[in-house]
Amino acid sequence: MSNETIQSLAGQEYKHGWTSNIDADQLPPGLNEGVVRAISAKKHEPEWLLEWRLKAYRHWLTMTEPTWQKPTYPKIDYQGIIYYSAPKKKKEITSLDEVDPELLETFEKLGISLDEQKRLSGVAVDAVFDSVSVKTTFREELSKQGIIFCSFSEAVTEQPDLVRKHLGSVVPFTDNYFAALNSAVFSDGSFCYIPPGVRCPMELSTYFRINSAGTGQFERTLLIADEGAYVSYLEGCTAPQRDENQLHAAVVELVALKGGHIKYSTVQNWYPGDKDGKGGVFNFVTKRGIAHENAKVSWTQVETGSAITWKYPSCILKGDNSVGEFYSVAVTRDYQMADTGTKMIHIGKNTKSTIISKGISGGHGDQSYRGLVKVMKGASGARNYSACDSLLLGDKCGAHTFPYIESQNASAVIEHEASTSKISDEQIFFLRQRGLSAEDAVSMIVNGFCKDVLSELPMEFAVEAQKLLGLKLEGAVG
Amino acid sequence: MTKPLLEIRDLHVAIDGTEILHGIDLSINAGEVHAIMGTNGSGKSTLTKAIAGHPDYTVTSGDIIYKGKSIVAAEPEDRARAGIFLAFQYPVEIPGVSNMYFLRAALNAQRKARGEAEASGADFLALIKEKAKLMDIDAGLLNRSVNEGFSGGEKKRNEILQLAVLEPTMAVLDETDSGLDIDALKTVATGVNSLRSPGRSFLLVTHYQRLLNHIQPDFVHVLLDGRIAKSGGKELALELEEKGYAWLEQAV
Amino acid sequence: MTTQTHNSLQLAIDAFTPPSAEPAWLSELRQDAADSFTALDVPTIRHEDWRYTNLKPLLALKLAAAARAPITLDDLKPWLIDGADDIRLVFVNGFFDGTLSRIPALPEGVLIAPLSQLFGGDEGLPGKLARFADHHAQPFTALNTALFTDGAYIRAGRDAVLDAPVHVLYVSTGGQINAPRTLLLAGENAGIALVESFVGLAGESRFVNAVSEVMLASGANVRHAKLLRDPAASHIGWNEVRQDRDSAYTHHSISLDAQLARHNVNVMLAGEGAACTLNGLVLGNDTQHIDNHLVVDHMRPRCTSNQLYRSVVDGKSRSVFSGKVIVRPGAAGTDARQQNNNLLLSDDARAETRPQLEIYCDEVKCAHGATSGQLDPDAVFFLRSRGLDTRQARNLLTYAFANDVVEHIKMDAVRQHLEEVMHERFHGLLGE
Repeated sequence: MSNETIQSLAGQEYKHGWTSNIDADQLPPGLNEGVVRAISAKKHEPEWLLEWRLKAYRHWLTMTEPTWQKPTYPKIDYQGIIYYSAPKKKKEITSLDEVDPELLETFEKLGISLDEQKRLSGVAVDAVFDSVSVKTTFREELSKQGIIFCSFSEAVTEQPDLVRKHLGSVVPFTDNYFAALNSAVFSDGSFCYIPPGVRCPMELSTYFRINSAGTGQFERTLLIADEGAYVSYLEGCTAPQRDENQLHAAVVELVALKGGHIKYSTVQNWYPGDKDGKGGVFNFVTKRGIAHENAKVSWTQVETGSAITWKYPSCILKGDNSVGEFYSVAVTRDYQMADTGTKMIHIGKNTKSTIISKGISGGHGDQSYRGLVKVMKGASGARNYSACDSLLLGDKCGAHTFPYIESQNASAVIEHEASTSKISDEQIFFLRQRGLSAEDAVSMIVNGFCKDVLSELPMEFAVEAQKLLGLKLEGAVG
Repeated sequence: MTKPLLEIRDLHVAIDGTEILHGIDLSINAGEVHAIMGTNGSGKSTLTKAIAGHPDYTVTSGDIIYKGKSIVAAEPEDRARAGIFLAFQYPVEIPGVSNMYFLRAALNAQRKARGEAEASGADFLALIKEKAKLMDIDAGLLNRSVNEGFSGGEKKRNEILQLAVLEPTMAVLDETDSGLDIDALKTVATGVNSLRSPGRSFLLVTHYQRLLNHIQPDFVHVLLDGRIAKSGGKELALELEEKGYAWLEQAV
Repeated sequence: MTTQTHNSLQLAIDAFTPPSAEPAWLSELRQDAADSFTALDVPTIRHEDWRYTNLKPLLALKLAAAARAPITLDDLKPWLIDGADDIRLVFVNGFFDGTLSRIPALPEGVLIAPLSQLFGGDEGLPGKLARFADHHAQPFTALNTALFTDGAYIRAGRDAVLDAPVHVLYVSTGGQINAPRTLLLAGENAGIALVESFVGLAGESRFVNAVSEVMLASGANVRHAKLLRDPAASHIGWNEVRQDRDSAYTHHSISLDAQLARHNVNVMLAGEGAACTLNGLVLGNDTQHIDNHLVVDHMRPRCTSNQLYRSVVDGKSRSVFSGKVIVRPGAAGTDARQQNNNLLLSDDARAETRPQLEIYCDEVKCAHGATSGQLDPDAVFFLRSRGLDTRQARNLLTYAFANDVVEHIKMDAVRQHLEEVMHERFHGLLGE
């Protein structure tokens, strides 16, 4: 009984698998210095950025692809990927009326209205389609408070000093294979700067959509909360259904200066591949934040899509009293694989970190939590608490927990707990005895299991996340 | 003669291929309170699970007729929606799901299935507050996860709270009295007594007579080795209290 | 890829000649192991399983070949265990010392002897030795298999029960490379207890490369303690255990002294209902580096495993714990628990921990926990408020922390002995 329920829940079809028919301005597949130069030229970038890209590219050439992760995947042909694809623009866009209607429709269909009038509440959106930012809403309103929210490309032109100062400061291009690749070929992404003491009045969000076939998505996001500033930022992702795997290798850098607070939320729903594991997005992302004195970096992620999710949103707790948080729900079903978790690097005194990870595996899904808590010698009074729970919804899935705990300071206190369990038949029977359908019973149990993480999401995203988790909670207290 | 609300006919039930109930006959009319007593392992819990439709309990022969229809093939939620309620001997914990949220979801699932209007947030809040007061349940418990971290007494009271909110036609209470101190027992009994009505029947499964001091049954049945060994009025419970079960075993 | 350091161990293999003539099967086994060693790389910290333990200093040691050395009973005294020494096998640098050993009359079905006396006999060693210690996969197992000169053989046949523990002492002297080897076979419903002491006096740095194989037939019960007390040793030990249906295995790994230690314990729960308990204690000081690496493989349904490892690190010492529980598809009803607690007593001490779960089956109960921290200041304060001075308070709490592991040892004589050792140790460990 419960198995069928789980099957039906686990078997829900991907709803964003359609494609849009939009003319694209593309570079031919392949990667060499010429391609890096061409991307830079297309974006009219200054010389220093081109140099930086080239350095990253040359460094990438010296690196080898890592193999320590749990998911295995077919060899990626880096010469077969299109590194730049943009919807063709007829002219410079100054208002929404001038955006390709097909594009607008694409985002409407995804539930992302780019029309500021139509937005229900204060959420500013930067919509990224394939390689470029399509439209950023509410820019003017935000700029009244000195907040800069724009596409990365625009930031390079308009805020060159800020970009130059912080680009690569948290994730240097030498960091890892995919970060190096991203640094060489990144096309666009979002940029945000919150000036000292300003609390950003609305949720900022970026919506990523891969559309063109054969393209890789290499966006770059940089958020800076200046001293005492606060921002809550959301990221959503979908992609069409295609038989071949698509590579998404993004880099996100967060800089929280003294007393700054960045809350970064992700609802990731890239195409996961079909029931037999064919196709789907390889989501290989490097996300890291640095927290200076009294600053806070908080990651919340709901990872439901992608054939392979492989990422560790991390916090470098550099300043004294800084705080890092990581809340994660990851769902793997069919043949999805996930190797995700976080790194908390405690450098400053009295730094604190919290890790709450919830993994749900069904079908042939295979999932690993991998997390590093590292307390450096000077991090007196550091505290970490980690709890990683896995819920299994079948007998062919896997759930693994690989924490790495490294303490070099005697005054640090680190606690890690983990558990793995299956969904209990008695719980399902109890809920059915009270009149709930088997599906609703499973949904309710799963929802309860994830509650600690979902409650960290901003309200709008929490609702979307619940839907994504296959939770049909009509008629219940909302 | 009116038809019984629940009629059990020559019911045989097995778990994992082992037969536990060897032919139970029982008839409960609307408004009646029946008590089932018996030693551990006599099949009391099995009977309650079979009525509620637990998937691990297989009806191998016989029938359960509820409101004139056989329900042995019905899903547990369909039985619940038709008004059958089981108070669990070991209430289940559901981490992360608040009691309030769960109860409203359950109530509305049942109302919707019966074609009734669903309870709005405000109506539900008023309803649950009233019932919680009746059951002497701390409002704080309503916002906590279902049964998580509840004491034994709180869990049992929470079962009766669900009973009060869901207002079933046929309530089956599986050893709701076990593990309760006398105050909690009184609270539970008060709750049950207040819910007695001409249209609602109760089947109380208990190991001890003491619950029946507080809830007066119309009929008492003794279950022994998967069969009903004796039936009688409430005086049978007192007799059992006095003599134990051994004399019945000899009688069988 | 063969490195220079690899070659120095290679030289030890190349230079090896068996102490006496050997049967063909053993020569072939050694040759096969030698070939594997040549083919395998000595792991570096780039290898995931070795990321916290750097073998470079070990590989830089100048090591002499194992050679006999004279040892007296007086020399052994500190390591003897009152009440657990009635049955004793002593090996010095890998060579059996008959005069120091004691093998009394044993119950029927029990055989305890040096391996070397059985190479050519009818005990069936060719099919039993090196059966589960895979020298094709592990370079150090290969090295041991190529180099071992002798070792302890303990066999308890069907239904044979030996209450008194068997104490095997592997004594190392001088700057040699030693390859102790133990083979324990417990037949159906047999019961036996083994204490392996790896001991040595301070002196030239040495390399002790040990392999133990333990096999439990269905219903067998084995208690196994491993005591490491060799301040001059770099010790790499492989303990390979295979358990059949309903067998019970308990392992206590107590690291009291070593320069560098790496204990690998691999348990295959290969029969339904098998249970294992793995406990360990590390008392580290100075620049000691102690690495415990456990893998428990739940291959069959309804097996249970329980790991409790604790380390107390002082000075510049470092402890590493890596415990992996694997639950195979179909291993329903698995109950696995894993706990690692680390107590850091100094600013320069370090503890690394990796409790890992790898689960491919849904019908399981698995949980793990790890903590790392210092003594609870509130507890210290509480004890001071009751009249203890700071040092005494810290000693008491540290002892209690460590004793949580020792008190699980059901071999009374061993437990009492360790409690005495700890009493003595904590004075020095915490300083005046």
